[in-house]
Amino acid sequence: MKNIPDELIQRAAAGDEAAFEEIYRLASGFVYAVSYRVTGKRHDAQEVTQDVFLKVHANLKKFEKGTYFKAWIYRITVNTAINCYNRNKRRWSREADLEGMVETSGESGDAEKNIEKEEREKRVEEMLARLGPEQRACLVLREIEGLSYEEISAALKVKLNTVRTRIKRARETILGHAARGDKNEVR
Amino acid sequence: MKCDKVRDIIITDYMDGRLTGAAALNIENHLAECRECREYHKTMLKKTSELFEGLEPMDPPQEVWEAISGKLYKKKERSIGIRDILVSLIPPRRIVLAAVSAGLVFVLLSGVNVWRIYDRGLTQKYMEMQLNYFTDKDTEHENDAAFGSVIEDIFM
Repeated sequence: MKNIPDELIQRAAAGDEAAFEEIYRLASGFVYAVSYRVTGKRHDAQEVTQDVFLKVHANLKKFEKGTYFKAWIYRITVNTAINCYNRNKRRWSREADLEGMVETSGESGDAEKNIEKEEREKRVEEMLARLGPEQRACLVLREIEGLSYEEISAALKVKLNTVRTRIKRARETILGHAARGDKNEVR
Repeated sequence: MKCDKVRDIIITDYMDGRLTGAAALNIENHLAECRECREYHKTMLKKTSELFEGLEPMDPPQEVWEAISGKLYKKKERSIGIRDILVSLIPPRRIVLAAVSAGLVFVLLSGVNVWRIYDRGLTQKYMEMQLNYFTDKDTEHENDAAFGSVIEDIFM
């Protein structure tokens, strides 16, 4: 997530709607990506993103200094996404929801690239679908968003060793699934 | 160092670049000597970290922002509506001053009129008393004629 200047947070806290919209532009990519990776559904990711920013707007005055603003956004994003996933997991089937996630330019030269992108997204989706929401959240924050263990620990308010354990188990699950996949291909 | 312990470290801190100094050196020395752990490390990188490389950034569709701003704006409109009503009940300062001044003038003029009416009433009452006194053939007043008659009696 891009850095959000303290001055922007202060202006938004004072009621400046343009400043809040700028915060949205800086943080929404992260929030949406994490929401999508955790929930696995585009519709749920949109709902989570809305909820997160409405909560941010309602609580802006608490973060005028901006010191923990990013960690706070990480936390409410992950918690809101996990809650959404748990609420909806029985309703939705665990299907890949990639239609329209990768935009195509319509030009023939980009068709191959788009297919590659879709393949990559599909593999990531399949791997993440094997994980529980907490493991998924930790792995996404680490691998895709590049947060350190300390940042993940502060964001999710869990111990450092808990972060380490979740990442370890997530990778082992993916590796185990990948190994089974390779064996099937060999046959 | 035992391979299972090394693999635990490879799959977490080593892969994520958290090891430095002697700790990193220990792992690298082990990997240099242990083919299985080396294969494990290579497979782990390929199947996990490399999987996530080159993923496109995601942005939410515009309708998400529209929904958020719609909800925030509706909230603001509601609060503005209530504020507008309150402001409309309290007129601007100039009008208040003008109204107060007019009110004072009215009260002043009313007071003067009230006093006039009151004063006229008193005067009228006095005149009626005097008239009654002079015209009334009540014997009570005959005694009043004696008022001063003692003096007359004395001196006259």
